Amino acid sequence: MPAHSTEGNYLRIIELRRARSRPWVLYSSLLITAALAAWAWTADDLYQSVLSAGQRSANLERFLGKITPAAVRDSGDWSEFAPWAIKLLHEGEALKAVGITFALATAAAALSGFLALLFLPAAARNLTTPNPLGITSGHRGIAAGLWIVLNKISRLIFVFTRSLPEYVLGFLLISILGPDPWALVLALAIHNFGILGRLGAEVIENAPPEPAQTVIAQGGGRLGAYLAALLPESFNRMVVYFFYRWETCVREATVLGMLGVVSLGYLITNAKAGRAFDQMVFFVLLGALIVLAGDLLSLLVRRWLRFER
Amino acid sequence: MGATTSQRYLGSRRATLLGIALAAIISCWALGLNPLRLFNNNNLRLAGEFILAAFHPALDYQDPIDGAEPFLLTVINATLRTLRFAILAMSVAVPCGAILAFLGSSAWWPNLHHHRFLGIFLRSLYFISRTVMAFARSIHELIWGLLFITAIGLSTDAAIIAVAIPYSGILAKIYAEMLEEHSKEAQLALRAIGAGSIVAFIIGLLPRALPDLATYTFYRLECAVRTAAVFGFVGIETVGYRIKLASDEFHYREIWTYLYVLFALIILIEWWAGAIRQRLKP
Repeated sequence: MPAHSTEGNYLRIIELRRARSRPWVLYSSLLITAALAAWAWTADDLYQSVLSAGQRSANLERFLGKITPAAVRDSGDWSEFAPWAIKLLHEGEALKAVGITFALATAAAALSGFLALLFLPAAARNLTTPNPLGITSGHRGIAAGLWIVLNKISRLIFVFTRSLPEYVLGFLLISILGPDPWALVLALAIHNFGILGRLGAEVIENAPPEPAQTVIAQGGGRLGAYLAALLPESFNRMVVYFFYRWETCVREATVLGMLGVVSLGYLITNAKAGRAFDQMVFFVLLGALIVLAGDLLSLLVRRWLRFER
Repeated sequence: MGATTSQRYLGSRRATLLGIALAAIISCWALGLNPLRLFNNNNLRLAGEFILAAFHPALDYQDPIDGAEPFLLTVINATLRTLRFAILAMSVAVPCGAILAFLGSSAWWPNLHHHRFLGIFLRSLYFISRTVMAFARSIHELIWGLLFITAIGLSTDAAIIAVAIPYSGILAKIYAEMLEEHSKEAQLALRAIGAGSIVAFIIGLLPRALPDLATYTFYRLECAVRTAAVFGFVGIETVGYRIKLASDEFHYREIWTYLYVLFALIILIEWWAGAIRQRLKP
């Protein structure tokens, strides 16, 4: 191969490099991220621990000394663990708390899924517009504007409900409704309504449009297109998202009990208040087991749904 | 043939819906959820008051005390602390999660046919990091926080570690799944012309997976902001701390100011993430 050709390639590479796009958004984002991290780490009012290092290690020693189960600590024999654990599960209401944790998550996920299915067509950009799926509805002026306003408002409602953390919602709802499981179910449901609504709207936007276009071209409305074409088409993806949110609901439900309804979080805070650190650790590990069981179940269902498609 | 598959499809759909509905009904029954209880007069009155307050969030204390810090300054401080807590937690969680994801993913492995011991080593590394991920994320950040508070006492750095542990686990799990499920053509092409497995991974796979990885990282940042707010309830002075104080005094309008702050932070992050994702896409 002649030398000048290699040189030509080299020049061409330089030329290409010069012509590449320079995404200033990315560069400035990197800079902003770095600046934010630097600010977060260096601003000084953060590390005011009320406790000295000595107090901390004394605390730690006391805590570690008391996390082995009481029965094992007294007898020095790990065979005492099983009866101790079984007694806690029964008399300590732990089994009931496990059941309530799952029930909270399931009721909340179902409620939020149902509400999201009702409202998400309004947030889908290809459906709630003057030209659903590219076919004009003939609306002009104010009527056309109203469709766009409806779309923007419903998207905003989804973002707003999503921006409220479950725990804060639970706290506020308990102060309104009293210590009622309703407060926790609604807290989980409101937050997940926002997430499922947004995810569902995206699924609808990405679904193949032809069947829905047929419905509209034959005189059907937006609702008809949603119920008869878009929803059946994207059913499996929606269910996959539903189970993914159910899984996070289980995780959140374990801590919402801290607000005063008997789920695992309640038992954990109770044990902490009574300084029964062995029980506290036991309940924490039980919670971890529940979350892993929830993950596994949801994984199995999602896999099954994918194969069915 | 076509008819049987579509019937099977319909069947599973109906079964799924029925199963979910049944589980929901059983759950409601187990919890004793009675819709009538929700709509008693006292609840409706308080809920009405609370929702009305949404339309005029407070711009000043509802019960001003002389000499107190101006309300809006308190709001700004709480907002900055919330953001800062979230950034601190994420700046620990992202590197930890990335390393854990690399160890717990097979996407960069060389061809293991001729390296028996390397294979055993990598597989055990994979198994160990997957276990660490699962354990870290199976305990909720608030429970990690509670454990730390019990073990060493309340402090901001302990709270940050408490959030960073489960977040590392979650990030690692999602990163690893994204890397393993991403299309591998470019990576395989590089391998075919003689690139090493790690180089092929870094040049062939990582840039292609970057938009997804970035999007998920931003979603986690959003979650971290919410978690920062929640940690206000265990004493870190974020937005949640102020919400708790305002709620103790039934100052609903102040609560809404802080809820709108959270809303604004989330929208800001979403907008930023959207802008970045658009530029990262090939």
